[in-house]
Amino acid sequence: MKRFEMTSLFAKLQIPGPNLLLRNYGQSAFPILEQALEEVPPGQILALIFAGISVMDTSFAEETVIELASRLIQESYGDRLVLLDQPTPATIDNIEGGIARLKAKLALLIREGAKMRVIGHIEPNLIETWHLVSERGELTARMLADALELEINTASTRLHKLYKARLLLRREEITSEGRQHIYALPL
Amino acid sequence: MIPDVLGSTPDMAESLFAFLHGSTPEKLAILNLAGVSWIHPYGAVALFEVCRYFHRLFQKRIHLTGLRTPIHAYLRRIDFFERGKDVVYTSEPFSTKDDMNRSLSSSNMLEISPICASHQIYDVTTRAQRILTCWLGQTHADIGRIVTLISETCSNAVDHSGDKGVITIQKYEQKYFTEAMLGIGDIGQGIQQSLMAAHGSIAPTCVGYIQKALAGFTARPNKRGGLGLGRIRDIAVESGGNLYIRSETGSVYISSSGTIVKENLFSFPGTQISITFQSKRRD
Repeated sequence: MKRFEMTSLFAKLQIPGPNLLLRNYGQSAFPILEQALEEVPPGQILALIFAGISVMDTSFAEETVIELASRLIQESYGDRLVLLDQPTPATIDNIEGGIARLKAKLALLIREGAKMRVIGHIEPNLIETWHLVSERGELTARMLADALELEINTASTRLHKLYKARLLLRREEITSEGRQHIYALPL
Repeated sequence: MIPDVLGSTPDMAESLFAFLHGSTPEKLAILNLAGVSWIHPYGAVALFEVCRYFHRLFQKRIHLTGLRTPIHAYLRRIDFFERGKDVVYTSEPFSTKDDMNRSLSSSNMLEISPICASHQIYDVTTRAQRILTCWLGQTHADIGRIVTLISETCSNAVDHSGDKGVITIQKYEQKYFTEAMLGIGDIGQGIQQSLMAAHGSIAPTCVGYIQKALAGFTARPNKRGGLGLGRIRDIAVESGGNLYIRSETGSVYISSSGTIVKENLFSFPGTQISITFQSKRRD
C-alpha cells in the first residue's frame, strides 16, 4: 500500500490548511493525486491519508477524489484501488453530497478508525456481498454462492462488479479444480 | 428614512431595494437610518451592496445619517465603513468608548470581508472556522458543515457573478441552540443571466432560474457541481435553519416548513443570500 499525505497538498497549493477547499484548488491538486496513483504497482492501493485535514468541501472533492474514482472505474489506471483513510465526518458528507449531486454511479472505500466501509452509490446486493467479503477476509464465487444461496454465475457477477468498481482486490489462483479468482479487501 | 428592516427577516429588506426605485439620485445619496434598531448579516450585506450599486450608477458615495449609537458601533465593528470607504461614509459623531470588543474569544461576528479571489475565500473560511470553534466548541461536524457552506457560497459568488462579493457572519445565542447567520452578496450578473449564458432559456422567471440552480444546473463550462446551492440548502435546512436567495427580481426562501417564492420584486442586480444554521447547544 502506498500512502499519500493529503496535508502535503497545502504546500503544493500554497494554502495554509487545515482545509481543502474550492474547485480551482482541487483542479490543481488532481494531477498530483493522479501521479501518486499511477506510481502504485498494479494490484495495489493508494491510501489517501486525511489526518490533519479538517474539511474537504464538495467542490474540491469533485475535482479530486470523485474524479479519481470516476477514472478508476473507467479503467484509466488499471488494476489499482484508492482508499480514503480517516476523513472527517464533514469531508465524508461532502464527498457523498458530491457523488449524489453528480448523480454518479460510483463508490469509494474509506477507513474510519479500524473499520473500512463504502460510501457513495452502490447497489444493495453488492454492498451485501462487500460486507461478506469484509467479514470473511476473502471470498471466491463458490464461497459467496454457498453463503448466500446464489447461482454461481450470480455470485461471480457480483464479485466481478465490485472488482470493476474498484472496491475489491482480485488475485488469480490455480488449484486442482482449475483457475479461480479470489476477492479480498485491501488490508 | 429607511424603515427598521435590516434586522428582520431577509424578505423585509425589500423595503431597502424599493427605496432605490422610489428616489432621485440626490435623495438616495443620503440614507437616513434613524429608524434602524437592529442589523442582521443579510441586512448589512444588502445595505453594502446598495451603496456599491449606487456608486456604480452615479460615481458618488452614499452618506449614512441618523445612526443610533449601537448601529453605528455595529457597522464599525463589522468594518462596514472601512471596507466600503469608496462607496459609503458617515459624518455622524462617534465616541471610540462605544466601540465593540474585537477579541477572538468574545467575538460574535466575522467582519464584512471581500470575496473576489480564491485566496480570499480560503482566508475568510479559515477565519470563520477559528471563530466558529470558539462559538460552538468542538462540535466538529457542525463546524465542518458551516465551513462547507461558506466556501461553496463564496465560490459561487466569485465564479458566477462576474463581480466581487462580500460576506459577513454573526452568531446569536438562543435558548436551546446557537445560530450562525451568514449574509453574502454581490451585484454581478445574477443567477438568471449566469445560467442563460450556459443553457439558454430554461425558465420563465428569475425564480425559475433560482430553482434550477437549486436543482443543480450549472453555468460552469465542465458542467460540474451546479451552483452548489442545493448542497447549501441541504446543510442549512437539515440543521433547522433556512436559506434565502434573492436574485434580480425573484426570491426563494427555504426552511423545514417549506418553500416560499416571490416574483416581481424591485430589480436589483446580482445575488444576495442569507443562510441561517442552527447548532444545538451542549449546556
